[in-house]
Amino acid sequence: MNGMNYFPNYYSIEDIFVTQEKVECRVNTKLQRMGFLDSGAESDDLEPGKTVNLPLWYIKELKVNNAYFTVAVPDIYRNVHKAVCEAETTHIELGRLHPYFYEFGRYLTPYDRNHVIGRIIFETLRQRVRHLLDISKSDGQAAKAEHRLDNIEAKLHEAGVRTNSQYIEWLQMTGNKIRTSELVEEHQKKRRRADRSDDEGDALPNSKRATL
Amino acid sequence: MFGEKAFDLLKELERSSQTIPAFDDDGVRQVLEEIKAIFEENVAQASSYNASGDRSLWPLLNFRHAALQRNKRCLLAYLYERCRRIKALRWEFGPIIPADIKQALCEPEVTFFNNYSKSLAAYMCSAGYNQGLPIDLTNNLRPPKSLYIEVRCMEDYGKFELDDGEVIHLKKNSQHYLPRAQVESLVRQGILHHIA
Repeated sequence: MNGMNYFPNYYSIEDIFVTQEKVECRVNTKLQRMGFLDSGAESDDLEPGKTVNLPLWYIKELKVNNAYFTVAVPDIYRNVHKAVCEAETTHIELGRLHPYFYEFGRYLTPYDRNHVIGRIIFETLRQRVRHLLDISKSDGQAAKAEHRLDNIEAKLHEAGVRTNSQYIEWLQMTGNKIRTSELVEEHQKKRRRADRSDDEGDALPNSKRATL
Repeated sequence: MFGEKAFDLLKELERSSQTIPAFDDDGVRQVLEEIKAIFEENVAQASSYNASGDRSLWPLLNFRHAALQRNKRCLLAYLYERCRRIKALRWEFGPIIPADIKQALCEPEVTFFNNYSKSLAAYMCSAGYNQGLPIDLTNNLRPPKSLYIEVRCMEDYGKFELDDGEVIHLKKNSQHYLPRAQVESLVRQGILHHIA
């Protein structure tokens, strides 16, 4: 339905997932009664010099050069990794590095003193796009290792496969059959699965069934 | 850490992609209580600041405020995503929700579905004003190529009446040659299957 365009907005669930990620920060000044942020803290206050893992949704509310925390950019965006990225861009398992590589990097760019993150993200995507184009032209049925693509690339790949199959159907003039809608099919499958296991009499705790 | 429960709601929703899981009454209530608790703490702290003018607790106030906004955002996104899926239900299943999906929705959501159906029907009526008949927008989602189509019945449906009064008996595996406009909704429901 609205799978074609992605733009992070207030309601977009993916943006909420990205901002849930934690970043490491070093505390600069003494923060009273915020000791609960640090899991190993003995005192009620947060002492300067400690490192805490804070969620992105809190950090992004503060000013970039604020006096309380300094944000440490994660290793995956550092220069060392950059060399690895450039060497074999298409074979890197970006999904395993970080499932939201590009968007997380986008949020971290203001905190990066060396200004390399922006370039890293851009170059990686630029080189992987061609590879993406190639694999989406295949029929898309081949089991793809889930971790090779990050979130944005996975969406692009899906869109590519869909467009490609629509194009092929149009060329072969077979695309005109009225199809049962996907939601209806999924619903019927679930119902059949529920009926079948009811008949067999065993109470398999199928988690999907429980949600209906 | 604040905001965990609200995020759990969203994780559950994301996991069930495109189908609607049961409305997590408890979860929503817990998040609302958490919001209330954080808010009361902040109000107490802000009023003490007004009295004493001591700025040292300001980061804590700020953190609680950010947590409040976060909880609110997660809750709203949860409700919004569910409403979006309910709207999709209307286009896929027609004006009646199947009973097992209906169990997963809460009261206000069922009202939302009915109101949406009503709005859609009113719009379809007004859009076809010139011809005097409502245009069925849920029909003809792809450009039709022929007036009649060949269909096979996938399950026992019983009697089906066409516009000209003719009654067709839909039994499993029977084939029929029927006008497209009237049977399209049955094909989309999966009761009939369109043969090339």
